[in-house]
Amino acid sequence: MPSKEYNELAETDVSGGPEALTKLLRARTRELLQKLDEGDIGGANQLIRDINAARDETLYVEVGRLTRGLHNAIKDFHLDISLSGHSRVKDEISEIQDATSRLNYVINLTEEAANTTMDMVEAGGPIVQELAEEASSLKADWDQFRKQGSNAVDNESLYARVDAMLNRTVEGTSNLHDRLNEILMAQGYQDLSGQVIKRVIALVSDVEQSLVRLVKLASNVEAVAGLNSLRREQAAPVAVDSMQAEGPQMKNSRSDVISGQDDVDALLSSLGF
Amino acid sequence: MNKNMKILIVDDFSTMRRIIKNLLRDLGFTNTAEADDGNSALPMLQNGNFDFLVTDWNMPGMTGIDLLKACRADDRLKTLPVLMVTAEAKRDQIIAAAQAGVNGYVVKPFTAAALQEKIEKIFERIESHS
Repeated sequence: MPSKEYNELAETDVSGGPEALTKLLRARTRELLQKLDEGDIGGANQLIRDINAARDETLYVEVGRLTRGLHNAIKDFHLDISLSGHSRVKDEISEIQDATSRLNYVINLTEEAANTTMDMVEAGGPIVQELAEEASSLKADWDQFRKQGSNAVDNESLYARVDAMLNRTVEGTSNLHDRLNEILMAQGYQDLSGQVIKRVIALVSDVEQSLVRLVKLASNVEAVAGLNSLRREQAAPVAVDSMQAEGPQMKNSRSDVISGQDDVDALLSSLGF
Repeated sequence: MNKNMKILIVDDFSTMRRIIKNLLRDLGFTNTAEADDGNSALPMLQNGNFDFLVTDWNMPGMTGIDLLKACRADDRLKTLPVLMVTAEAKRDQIIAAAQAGVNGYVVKPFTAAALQEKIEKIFERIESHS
């Protein structure tokens, strides 16, 4: 997944720009004071022009880096946005879109496995029930036969029932065995979905790293231009709606999450349930 | 407890509806119907003479908590027993469900025994109050 452009982005020097400018500013400021002390207004003006030019140049360089970084990030993940002169990007499948369809595939795979398993369980249920009913009715006669000897029951009918029961047991257990095997095979979804999810996790962490690099590049531009919007944005906390449904929670990962049915019951009973 | 009571199972995942339906059948409840979110469940509840609602929380369209509130706001459904079967396990959410008038709360993943215990408890309480 990490392409050549991606590695170029990784190697882009995100430090140095603003620091070099600061060094230059310090040196020139000393010179400027000296010129002013000497009464050389013309020389002082020239220095101010030099400082401005250096600042502009650093800004252009940093904006250029940011643009290249952004461009590389877009190429890396084949994002489906059209830029003039970059129609090639549109033709490729976006990796994000690809990840979305992969995750949908996981949903289908797990649904199919769950349905297969339940089909087998539902088909096996009646077989087990029939064998159990037949066995317990036969056992009643068999117990009577053992207690009271052969006179108490119709021997011919008992032999026939034992025979039928044995046949049904052979047939039923072989049927159940096949269904258990199918249930076993259906568990293959775990391997397949695990592989897909691992790929998507890798993509998400690549996207995150790229974004972090872009933010660093952008902060260089802001430092040179004298902006500090990043800090302002960070200061504003994001309001979280505690009622928002979030799906399954990882156990014990958060203090506001209950760890199991026992805790739910304890909480509800403390509320008078 | 009336084993012929009419039960509505609401969950956006068909496999989970099927699991709950199978568990209920094992417990002797065979008169069940299904809906995939609150929006499709509410009209069924309003017109279907259901005796019991088993609902998930997190669903597209209308969520389970909103369905519960809609039931409690409806004169015909305000006493309908509601069991929440959900993966939502935040303290605030459970308290909110209790305040909205839920009759039982089962967290996923759950066991057949937990489902049975909650259902029995709900109807024991209802019978002892009536």
